[in-house]
Amino acid sequence: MEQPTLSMAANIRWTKSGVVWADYVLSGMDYGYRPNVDKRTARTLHTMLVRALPGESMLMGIASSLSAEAVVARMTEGVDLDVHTDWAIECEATLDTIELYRPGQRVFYLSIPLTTTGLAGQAKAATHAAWSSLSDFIGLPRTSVSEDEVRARIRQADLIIADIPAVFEARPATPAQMVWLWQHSMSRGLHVDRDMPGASSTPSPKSGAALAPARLDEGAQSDRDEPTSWWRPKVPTFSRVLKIDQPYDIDDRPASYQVILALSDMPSGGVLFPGSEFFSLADDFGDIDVDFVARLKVTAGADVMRANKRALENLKEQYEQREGALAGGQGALDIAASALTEYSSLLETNRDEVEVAWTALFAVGASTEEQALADAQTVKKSFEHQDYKLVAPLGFQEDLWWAMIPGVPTSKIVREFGHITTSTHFAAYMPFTRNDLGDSSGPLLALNITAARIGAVFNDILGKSLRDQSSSWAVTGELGSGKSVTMKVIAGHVVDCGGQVIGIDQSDLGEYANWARAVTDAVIVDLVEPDYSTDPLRIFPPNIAAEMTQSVMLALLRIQPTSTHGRALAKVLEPSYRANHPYAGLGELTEHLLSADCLIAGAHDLGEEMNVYARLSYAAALFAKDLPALPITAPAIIFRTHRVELPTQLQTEKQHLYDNLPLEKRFGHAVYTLIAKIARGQCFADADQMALFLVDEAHHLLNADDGIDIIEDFVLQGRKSSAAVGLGDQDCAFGTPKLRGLIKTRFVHRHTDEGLAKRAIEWLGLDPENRDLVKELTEQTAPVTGQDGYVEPHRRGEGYMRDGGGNVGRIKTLLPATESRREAALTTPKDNKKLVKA
Amino acid sequence: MNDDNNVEVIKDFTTARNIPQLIGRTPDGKKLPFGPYTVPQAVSGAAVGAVLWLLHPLWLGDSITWNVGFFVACCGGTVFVVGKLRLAGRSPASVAQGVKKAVFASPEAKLKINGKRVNIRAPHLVHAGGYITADPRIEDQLVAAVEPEASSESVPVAHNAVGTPSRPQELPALSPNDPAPRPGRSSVKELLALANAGNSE
Repeated sequence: MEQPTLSMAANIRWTKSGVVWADYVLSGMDYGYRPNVDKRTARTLHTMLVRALPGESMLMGIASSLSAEAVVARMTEGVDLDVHTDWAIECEATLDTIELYRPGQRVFYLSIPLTTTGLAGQAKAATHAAWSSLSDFIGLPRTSVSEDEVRARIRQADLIIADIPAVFEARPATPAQMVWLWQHSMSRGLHVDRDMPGASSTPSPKSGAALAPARLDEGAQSDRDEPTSWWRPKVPTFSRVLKIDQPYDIDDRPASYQVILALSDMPSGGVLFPGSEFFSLADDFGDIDVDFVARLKVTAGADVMRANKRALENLKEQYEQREGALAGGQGALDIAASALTEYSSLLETNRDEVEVAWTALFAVGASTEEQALADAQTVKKSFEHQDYKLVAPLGFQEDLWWAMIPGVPTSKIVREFGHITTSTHFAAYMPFTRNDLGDSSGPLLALNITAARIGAVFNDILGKSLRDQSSSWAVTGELGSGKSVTMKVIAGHVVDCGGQVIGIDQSDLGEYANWARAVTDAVIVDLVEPDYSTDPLRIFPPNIAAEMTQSVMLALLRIQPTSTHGRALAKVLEPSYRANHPYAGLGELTEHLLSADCLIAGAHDLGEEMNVYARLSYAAALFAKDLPALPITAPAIIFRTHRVELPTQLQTEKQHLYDNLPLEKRFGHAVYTLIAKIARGQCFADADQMALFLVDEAHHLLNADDGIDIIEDFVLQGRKSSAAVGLGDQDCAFGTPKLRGLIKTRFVHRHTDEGLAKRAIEWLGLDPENRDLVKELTEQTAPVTGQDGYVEPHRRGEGYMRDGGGNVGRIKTLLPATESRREAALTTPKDNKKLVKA
Repeated sequence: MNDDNNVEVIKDFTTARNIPQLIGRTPDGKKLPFGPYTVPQAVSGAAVGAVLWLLHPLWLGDSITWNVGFFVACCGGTVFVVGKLRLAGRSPASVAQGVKKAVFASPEAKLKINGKRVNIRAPHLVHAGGYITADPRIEDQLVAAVEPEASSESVPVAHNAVGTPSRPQELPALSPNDPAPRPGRSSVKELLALANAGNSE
């Protein structure tokens, strides 16, 4: 067979048979862990898609390997690498590390032959095709397609695609994408795919040879051994493989050995939906890329009824022919009669129903014949476990390979493997589904391990803000589950891409402080033994500082805003008052309140109360006059609070206990509010700079109403100021149900406690009573093995993600590719590192 | 059980229309002995019978027992064997065609050496193809984007060969306030540029 495509313009291809095809790139529907109600919606939309397709069509699911360059290109999108050199280094290191995982993606294509109406039109199309073939044969330059013809065909294709549900995001394929598909078909299994060209990547007009030549060799006959006897070369290989190479390619590229499998049989008695989505079985192979094509022929109900009537007459005839035969022969007819009755009934009861005659083909490829056959065997066996039968018909590998190429008419061998059903039933096989997570570009956060076929999860915090989505996120998981690693990885992305991180470090080891020091010029503030003053009056402009200081002092001194002391505090903090009575910070303000210069009612008493704290060593961060002010624009600021005394849960809930709190705990309670205020003040200050407020052990902050208000502000308003909050906690309570629901991007790492696991599953939007899910989270997510509580390195970082779009899937958080950053992100104490196996 | 957990049986109705054809009776309604037979059985039995009939000088003997026995054994044996073939629902003709293709497939190079005819299924070249024609809508967009600007300014407009207006382009002069030249591209950028260049083909 020859290359069927003569010309391409826009998304239209003219073929040698005279038929014109229109190609589209589609988006798959989110599926995976979606609830059943969403799965039913997906099926309904697939039904609508199939019914919108006129006559014949091709649905394609192409497993494309995502090259390291393609991954890094997505990581660098929108980032100026000349400015953010750390990110350039990380991206460069990723080029090496990502190769180990070989992530991929599934690209969905739809190809539809366009009808040519009228005798004149058909004659014109046939003449054009014939003339083109003749021109090629005698070496004449080929005539191009007229502009009017291109426009007419585009309009015709637009009419068809208008009926396709918008959720599939059908985008006209470009000639570059058509060339990419041809190139992929020739090199299947060699893992040399480039990233699929974008919609804007359109090559300039070419006078030929856009689709490279290929050499097809059914049975890999050219690989036969050199003849050692006269008869050896004459013995065919009988191999069910198709060898494809590109003889004119200057690169010394290996040949692609491909096996095309046709679905010959389905489970008898039918399959249950949900669970019938057999096309997704193609993603069940981690190391084998499986492409699939479904060639469809949709026939209207009235025509089908006529065919069914003929089948009924045939059935009656067969009953007569088999009269008196053994029961087996009659039984087959009874089954056929029952199926025909049900089929006719389905078509009669729903006038919109159509018949779908379909053939499913699956293709695997490898760089050697043995590997290709072994992969095909693996795929075949996997399908057999689900009662689907795949066959590789001897002698028809090339025909089936062509059947997977758009523009090729349906051949006899394709029809031989045809199946018949209704659009509603065919839709339950779900050809266009995906398990994608995260964003289309941005920092590479994790691998998508929902299916065996690994995908890449990009988490574009800055991009979310630009798209008016909340970029805040939260992580939950038990101790040692990988929660803080995920937090540090995301925070590292923010810093490397030029953003700012303000974090709270509650740990004794100072894991966030150490991490921040390793990744950037960080400022670490130990709130008990401070090197910097965190006094808002010394950090922020007077108007912002006044509001911030008032909130903090009201909380610290436990005074009402409208009381005498509250009014005095408000007065002295007014910018106009401060202009007339200059004071540098809280220390000097206390002195001013105690001095005779201050004539405000209650000022002296207020000064006395403030002085109680000003004399305390652990309150130096607020009141010390000799400390330098916190450099608030530093790329990372970490507040260490490990020595800050905090009230217990009981003490915050019971008023009498709260009223009798010791000073250390009062200060500790207020200091979290202070940090949150500082973080809010700085993160919301510049809308052009991404800023992240990182809070691990978030319950310390979310115990106070002030803390909840501030975090809600981050979640609700942060997108306008490119500000986000990243929360981490072992329980996914996260303050209030409202706040818990507002956070759209959620990560769940291992919970071995069933109660916490169920809460986390519910938070992800999944069914907490699903025992399989609970077991998966408690026992099969970064599982602890052995008595030492040891997690195998290759299982670390496993968890679940629910992205902003509500898609849920399993992930494995990736450590930074740069060694220094990788070490910084790890929390394993040095002494325990010897436990880590090589 | 709530609605969310309901399951539905998804069926394939191929059996409703592809009913295996068996022949159990003659056109006048008489029952065929040992029937019914599949179409391949009937065709192969008839074919063997026809061949035996044509070649009767080779095997026909004087003994009627031998003659009838041999004829019945050959035809009946063929029908029996064909009836035992399991082709997974495929047409025997199609299977035979595939086997024929595989048997007669020959390596091109070795055929030339041996001076044999090149078989149609030998390795063969699919020539390059696919002309790319410009998308006329892009030109429309360009015209739409350029036209308002052209009419709003009074800069003299030259005309190119096809008569569409074109504007002489000048390189802007560098001023001392212009940013410094950008540093060279990193290896990451080189790689990405290379990948992008490849994608545009």
